Amino acid sequence: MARFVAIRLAQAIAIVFLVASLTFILIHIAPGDPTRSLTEAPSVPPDVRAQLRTNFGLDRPLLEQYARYIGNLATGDLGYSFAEHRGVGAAILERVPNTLLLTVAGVLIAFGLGVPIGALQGWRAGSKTDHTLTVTSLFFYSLPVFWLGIMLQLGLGLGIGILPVSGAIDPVTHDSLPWIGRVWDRLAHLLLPAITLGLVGAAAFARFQRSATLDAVLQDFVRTARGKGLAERVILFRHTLRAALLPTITLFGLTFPILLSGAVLVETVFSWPGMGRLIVDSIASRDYYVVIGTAIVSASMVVLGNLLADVLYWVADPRTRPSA
Amino acid sequence: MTPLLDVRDLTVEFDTADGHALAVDRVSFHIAAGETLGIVGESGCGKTVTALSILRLLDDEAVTSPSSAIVFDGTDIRRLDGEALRAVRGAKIAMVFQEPGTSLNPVLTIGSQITEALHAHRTIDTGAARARAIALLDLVGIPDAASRFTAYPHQLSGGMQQRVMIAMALSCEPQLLIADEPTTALDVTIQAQILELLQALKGRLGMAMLLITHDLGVVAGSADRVAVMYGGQIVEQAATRELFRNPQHPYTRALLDAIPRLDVVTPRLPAIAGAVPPATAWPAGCRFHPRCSQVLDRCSTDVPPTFVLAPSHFSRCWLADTSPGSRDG
Repeated sequence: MARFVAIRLAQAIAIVFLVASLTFILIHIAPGDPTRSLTEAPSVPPDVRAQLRTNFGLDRPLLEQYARYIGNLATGDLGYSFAEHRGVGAAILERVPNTLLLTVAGVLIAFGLGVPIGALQGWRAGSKTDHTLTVTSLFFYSLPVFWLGIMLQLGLGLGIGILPVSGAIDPVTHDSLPWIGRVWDRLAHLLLPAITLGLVGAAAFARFQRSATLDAVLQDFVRTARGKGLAERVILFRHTLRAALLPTITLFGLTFPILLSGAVLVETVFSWPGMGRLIVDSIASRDYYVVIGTAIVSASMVVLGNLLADVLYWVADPRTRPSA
Repeated sequence: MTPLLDVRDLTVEFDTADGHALAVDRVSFHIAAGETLGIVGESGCGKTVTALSILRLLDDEAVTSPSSAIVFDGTDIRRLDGEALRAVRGAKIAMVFQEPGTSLNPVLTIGSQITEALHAHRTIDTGAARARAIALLDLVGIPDAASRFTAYPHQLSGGMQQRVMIAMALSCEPQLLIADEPTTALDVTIQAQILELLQALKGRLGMAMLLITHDLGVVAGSADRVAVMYGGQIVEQAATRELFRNPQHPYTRALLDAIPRLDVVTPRLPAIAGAVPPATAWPAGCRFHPRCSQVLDRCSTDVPPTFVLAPSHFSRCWLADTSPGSRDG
């Protein structure tokens, strides 16, 4: 187990290095540079711009910039944000908890809603419930996530007026609230973006869980369980669902990056102060090192998500465990 | 004496992609307490469907004809509802399946798969269930049973897995054990061990057995009576000794001829020409007639009834018709 995790962590470092290199190349291929917004303003003289480029080392050969960046990265230095006028590490660190909160809440909703719905559909395949849920989940699956977000804002936020539609906290009252109020304030702000993210994911999970359950129902050991005279409830939960969860765990690892990219859109719609908006803003302003830094953090989260899926799989399926 | 299990006119049909299939057609047999009945036939003859329909383990698509009766210990299993059916499954009639590798749940320990059967039918605490499961594993000849309790199926060989299946089936001391090709997936040496084990346990526990196989050699040593199935029907039924000595149906004879013998030199084993037709398109008349070496004219048009040759010897073949003028046709 420890060896397994160690190997995976070594792979993770290689992946991070590759992602950093690739993002570095891509963002430098794109036209413009971090000083562009300054230089587009007519009042900034060309020599000021040149001075800025020299200060930030942007006039150096690309290979030299790359070598210096990778060298700094190895020491844990993620570079400097031109737009935020501070270290990239600090800028990201401020956003990461919000994105993690949103993504984890989204995953929980997706998993908690999608898996039981899909399992019910597979167990009662061909029934009216199954058909209704198939149409419903396909509907949500085909919705653009930002549009769903806007509709939820309009309906649940502005329409009924029970939930806040933007931000992570109430900027005016939050700090003056008692702790329970602060928790509720966070939760209320989290609800709509998490539901938006979760519903689309839930639809994917439900589709997948349905077919996994259908497969599992036909397994020989389910027939054995029935032949033993076990209650249907036991056959469903203990025998069928445990087997049907295995492919879903794999999907969990694969969905994590999808939800993370979904989070970028949701964060934009809900003005959620997470990494997603940092990514969008940094690309627009060619804030090179923020772009690379956020890519590294995203890649790490994906790698960790997959590692988590592997460990879960290991727990759920004894056949994948190394023999004792 | 009323038999323990009395199957009468069992008919099972289902719709397949290739059309309507008549998988089992008016099959009747009975098993007395403590007796072993062997059902023999090629793949696709309906023997597994017959076995599964006794415990009503067939898929929902399979339709058992309303005129069928499966009377076990005085009760028609076909009329039982959920709870009453569960009380029979595993407790009074238990089943051992063909593929132990897929019939055991891969993610549960073998111990828990045995104890869950105990918990389903008896009021028994965890410790006692565990002790009984270990005793059962020991009974079926699994070495070091106590430490195997927590093993997963994939950690055992095929033969050991089948022993676990048998231990599981025996856990609630059933009156009838249905063994559907219990040795087909196993090596020849392991086959013999498993059959010996089943025989020994049957004698020790006094249960009846329905042994389903495609191998006449398997029933020869184990069964009291044999029913030979072809095309969804029982074509011949007799005491094992009688069937081997005096086979009446050409299909039974062909099966017997296909067994290699030590005392006769055969350059090449005779095989039965052709293959079993699909259940969606049985031939008219006798279903075996296209492959039969002794076919008569009437065989392709007239369905042979079941002829009684002796009190417990039946054959569904026109050759067994002793009525006057019957051979003219």
